[in-house]
Amino acid sequence: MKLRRLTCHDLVLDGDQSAAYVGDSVVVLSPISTTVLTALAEDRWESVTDVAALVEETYGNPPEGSAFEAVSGVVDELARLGLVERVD
Amino acid sequence: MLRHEVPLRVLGVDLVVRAHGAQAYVVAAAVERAWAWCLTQAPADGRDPLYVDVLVDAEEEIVRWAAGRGWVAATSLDVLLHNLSPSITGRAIEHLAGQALMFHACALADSHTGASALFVGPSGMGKTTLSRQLGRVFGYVTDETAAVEADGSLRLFPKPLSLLQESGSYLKKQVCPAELDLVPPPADPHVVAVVLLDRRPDAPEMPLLETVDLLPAVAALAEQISYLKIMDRPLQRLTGLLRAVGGPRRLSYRDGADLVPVVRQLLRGEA
Repeated sequence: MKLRRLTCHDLVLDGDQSAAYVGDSVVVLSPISTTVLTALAEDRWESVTDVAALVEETYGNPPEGSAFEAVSGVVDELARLGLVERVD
Repeated sequence: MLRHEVPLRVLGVDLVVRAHGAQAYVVAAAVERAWAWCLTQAPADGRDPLYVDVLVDAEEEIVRWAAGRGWVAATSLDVLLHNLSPSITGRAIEHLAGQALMFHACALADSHTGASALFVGPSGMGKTTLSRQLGRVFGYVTDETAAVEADGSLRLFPKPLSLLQESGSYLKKQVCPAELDLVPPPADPHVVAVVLLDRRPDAPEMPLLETVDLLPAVAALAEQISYLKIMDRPLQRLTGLLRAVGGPRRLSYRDGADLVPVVRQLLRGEA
């Protein structure tokens, strides 16, 4: 699966978290979501494997499951919010 | 048709209320009385003002005709004044869309220094009550919309307060701040604090003012800002303001009358 970032109205960072203006509301993104989002670009596709490796490098292994699984869950949420696009 | 004009400056925007019809003089006089703290002499810099046309007439057919033209029209003066306030506010904030951060907030100021605190919250959170209670001690800037420029300056909007009537009528009475003995605002207010209002019966007995995390506050405040979405980089602008004032705060309280010391500390930068 590959990912790219989509345009949002605005994004601000505060420490390891961020807030995104998407649709008609502002959502606060967790540190992992922020890491994933800021690792992506609008004009470049990244593999989930590469992004998961970056998250693992930053945060270590998750308490349960793999980094890939954790990032996949984050990507689901970011896609639902309209912040990323993914293709198989 | 008779016409009387009432020139106002609302959030720094020149706006003329044009009263039409046989009762134009009476309507204009009532608007002047209620909006006395927003009266102005002439549009600044020769700019064209906005216009709000109003009419009071006992004939419902005539009122419908006027409403069809986009006028604020009613069969009684009380209804007209009740409906006029949101119309004036709406026109002004529409005009400022994309320029200023327009918080749904009341604002109180130190009359000497211009330091001002915004108390942000949805309808029913007590902004007008707070303005009425604390505006006798601190300068009354607005009880409804606080428009903040990029440099932190605050546009004046000392509108009439919309007060529930003892009769239980749904119509709120539009009362000039002078009639409530409120303190006039300073000429050049600027923001030194942004506070989320949290009024509830089970709040701590002593008012609790606390700093809150930036990003959740940004999300909460965004819901209380008009036309935020059409602003360029709105979250950068909002976080810039919040960082400049030492971060967002939340005030949990039961009764606004208890808040004089807290507001004084905020305006002095001691909170």
